[in-house]
Amino acid sequence: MAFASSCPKDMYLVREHKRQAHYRNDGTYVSGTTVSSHCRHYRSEGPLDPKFKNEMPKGWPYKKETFKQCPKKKKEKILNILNSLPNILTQIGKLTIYCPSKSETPNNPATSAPDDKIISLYDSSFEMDTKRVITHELAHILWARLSSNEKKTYYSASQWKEDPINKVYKTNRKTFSAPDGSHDPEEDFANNIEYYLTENTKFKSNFPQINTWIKNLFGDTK
Amino acid sequence: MKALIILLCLTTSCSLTSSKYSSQNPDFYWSILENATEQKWTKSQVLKMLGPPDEKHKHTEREEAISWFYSNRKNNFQEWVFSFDSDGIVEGVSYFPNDLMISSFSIEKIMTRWQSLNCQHKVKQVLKSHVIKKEKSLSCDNNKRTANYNRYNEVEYISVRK
Repeated sequence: MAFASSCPKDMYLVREHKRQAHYRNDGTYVSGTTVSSHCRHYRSEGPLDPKFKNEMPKGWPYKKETFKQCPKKKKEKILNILNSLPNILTQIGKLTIYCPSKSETPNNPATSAPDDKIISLYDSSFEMDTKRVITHELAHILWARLSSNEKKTYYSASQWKEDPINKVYKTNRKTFSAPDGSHDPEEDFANNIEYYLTENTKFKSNFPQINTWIKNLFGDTK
Repeated sequence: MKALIILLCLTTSCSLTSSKYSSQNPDFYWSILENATEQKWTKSQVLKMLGPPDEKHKHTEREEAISWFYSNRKNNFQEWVFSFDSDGIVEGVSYFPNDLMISSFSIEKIMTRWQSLNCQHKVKQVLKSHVIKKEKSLSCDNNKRTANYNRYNEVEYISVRK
């Protein structure tokens, strides 16, 4: 079927492709077929489906980290926090959560792998404001799920520019919600989402343009 | 066609305001992307094509090396970056297609256009302190030409280096 190459603003084009027969996680059989070109909404992975795992994820680069079972109390705390966060951060389908002991990176309470929707919460993350830590990691996952146009509007609102040839990010901004936000737009984004949700009055006053951008993205989300 | 556009632009004052935004012609953008490094454009040739940059960035670690940034005049989104070597010759150029151009710079169009350049889809793991990222790109001509795209297969930028 010849499908229009452009989709409505809030959707993207999925081109015709072959789908292999498979079983869904719930045991439902899905037959193999050719899926026609169609438009799909950005961020349409469905409701949150958190899974706790104990073994080091495949391809995890920090080989010295020790993975272990996440204790019941920690699991409950994490699930309560996830339930309290806005839908745009949590409506991501399957989220795999790990509770390793300590990060290979000094003073790091958590690591995320946004493309695989993984977050690792080290022991130290439970000795601080865990909600902020989880919010920050989910913001990294949200960044990976922004559309190309949404990223462009964020770069514009937050005054970032990118030089891919030299692998340089550039901004004329002098202030950031957290110091490591000056490194690159993604870290700045994760910090800004965290501060937007936890210290909104101050954030709004210091970064009005970014505050408006986030407010527009979040819409009337919970 | 490409050569004609370049010739017209270089012999007349084909600047940002007179040509780029009035025509919205994908050939114009392709010609800049593909010719800036291949034909070793100087700063004055880039100035003639696009006018003065919105911002410049000196690379402190590489003496005299500099990048020029251009934004789209209508929406202020970043559109071009030119990287010049110490002799003022373009060593790399990146183009960020805007909404109106995005269909002319899809992964499929790029693959068709560069089909003779041994293009391959690549996924690279990138570590940034506490984030493990996967960067997806179409890499052609021994990594000299790359198109980075996101999880929705939308091209974010295309880079050509010498």
